[in-house]
Amino acid sequence: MEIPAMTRRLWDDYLTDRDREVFRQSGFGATAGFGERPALMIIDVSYGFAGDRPEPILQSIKRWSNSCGAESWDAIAVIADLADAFRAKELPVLYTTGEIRPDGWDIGSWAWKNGRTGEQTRPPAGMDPNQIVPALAPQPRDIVVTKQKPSAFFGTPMSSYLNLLGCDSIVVTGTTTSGCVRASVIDAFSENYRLTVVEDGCFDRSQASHAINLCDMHAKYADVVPATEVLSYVDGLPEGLFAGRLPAGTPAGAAAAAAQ
Amino acid sequence: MTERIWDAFLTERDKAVFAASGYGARGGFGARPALLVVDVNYAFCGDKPEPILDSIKRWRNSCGEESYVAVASIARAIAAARAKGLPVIYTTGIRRPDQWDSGSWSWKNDRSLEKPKAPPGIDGNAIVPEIAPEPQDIVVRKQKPSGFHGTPLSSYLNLLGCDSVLVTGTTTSGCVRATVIDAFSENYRVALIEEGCFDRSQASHAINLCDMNAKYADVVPEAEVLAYIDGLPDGLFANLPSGVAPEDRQAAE
Repeated sequence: MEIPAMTRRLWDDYLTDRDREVFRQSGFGATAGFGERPALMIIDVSYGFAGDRPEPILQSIKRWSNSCGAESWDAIAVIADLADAFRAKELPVLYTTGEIRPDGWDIGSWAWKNGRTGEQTRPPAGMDPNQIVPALAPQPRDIVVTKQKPSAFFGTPMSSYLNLLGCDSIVVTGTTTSGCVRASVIDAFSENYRLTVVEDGCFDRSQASHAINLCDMHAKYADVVPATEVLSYVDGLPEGLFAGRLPAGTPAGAAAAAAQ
Repeated sequence: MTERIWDAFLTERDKAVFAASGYGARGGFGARPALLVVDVNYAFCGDKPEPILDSIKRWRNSCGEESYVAVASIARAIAAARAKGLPVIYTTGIRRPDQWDSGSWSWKNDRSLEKPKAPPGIDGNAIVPEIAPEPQDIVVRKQKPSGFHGTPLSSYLNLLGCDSVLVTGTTTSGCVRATVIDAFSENYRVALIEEGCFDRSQASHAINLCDMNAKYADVVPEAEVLAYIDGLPDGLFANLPSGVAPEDRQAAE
């Protein structure tokens, strides 16, 4: 079946003809739409997953076993624009990144499926693989959630933070599309949040996994849209949606002290 | 290196990246496994084996005739697990009659609130009769993709003292994938029976098996799992459900 260029999606080339027909007829892939009170989620955009500089993936993974290579940095530029837009509108910006004990005991199941897991505790030149890349460094009013497993929700206070903020929806960016993004989207869907996945703000080490995981998420759990669509949506939101709800970004005593 | 079902869907660069990044190592089986059978009900299989494009006219979630090929494989795994006294745990869906609790499911599917155009009296959430749960089996009702989300599954695995799960069912890219991620996150050893998983999308089936094998689980053939079960000691699980209500047990004594 010929697909019109307008509606052509990144994943179409990876699907079989039967798959395209099944998706069309089974009703999946409808547009869920944006919510009214969104947070931006930036998942695991750390040195461990982006490498410490843009370089071809097969170079980058020699030093960083989890790296997604040069595409990481294309997405990072997109995410930076989104983060600026969310901050300008005083909407919540939530980051996740990994955390493990120095002795690696809590790596648990991660160690079972990857022959290079041990290297994560031996990063190049003393760099921290879990550090968010400087181009996306969290600002004082942003929220950083550290996690140990794929989902941003698993064993973390993420769900309670979204309740505290009164969010009804999440705009998701970061990496990997097939790993922590996918797992976080499933859990957010299960918690009945409206979800948008930013197509050009997500990245993965595997091209096929990237494409098909976007396809699966768009079919069932989230709207997969370009960043430009999110930027115009954010632009159209009312001001002050999260007044009194966002972190102050200054120590609790400091504001009072400064006022005196 | 044996050809895997997902190789045809990967790019050449993907194959090089997976080889170099260390993913896809063999995790290995555990010592105390439970068999999980995810959502193998009429809604996902249709009420009879027929080509998927026919089946989804009546059952919008159907995975078509491949479902019933997998059901035969799952039936063999269930028989082996029961014979060895291993826990067999099913999941299937549950909804209020007014479907208020569909929640996010209704946002992404235009057909989510339609009534199944199916033979009257067939409940989409009923496990297909070929693998009907028996009294000593465990059935977990869920509302979202993962067998763990909002269910007692994790506490049941603790109660049984399981260290691992053998996963079968559907869809590979949906509830199987979500359940595998949560089992991984709970630090269980996870193996999938390749022939016992199915999906409505061929590409999604292949790539989700690839992703899970890379990161979270061993994707292994049925024969290997059956041999593993066969080699386990008898009597591993003294605390399986008896399948008999206490009053009936007393009456029998």
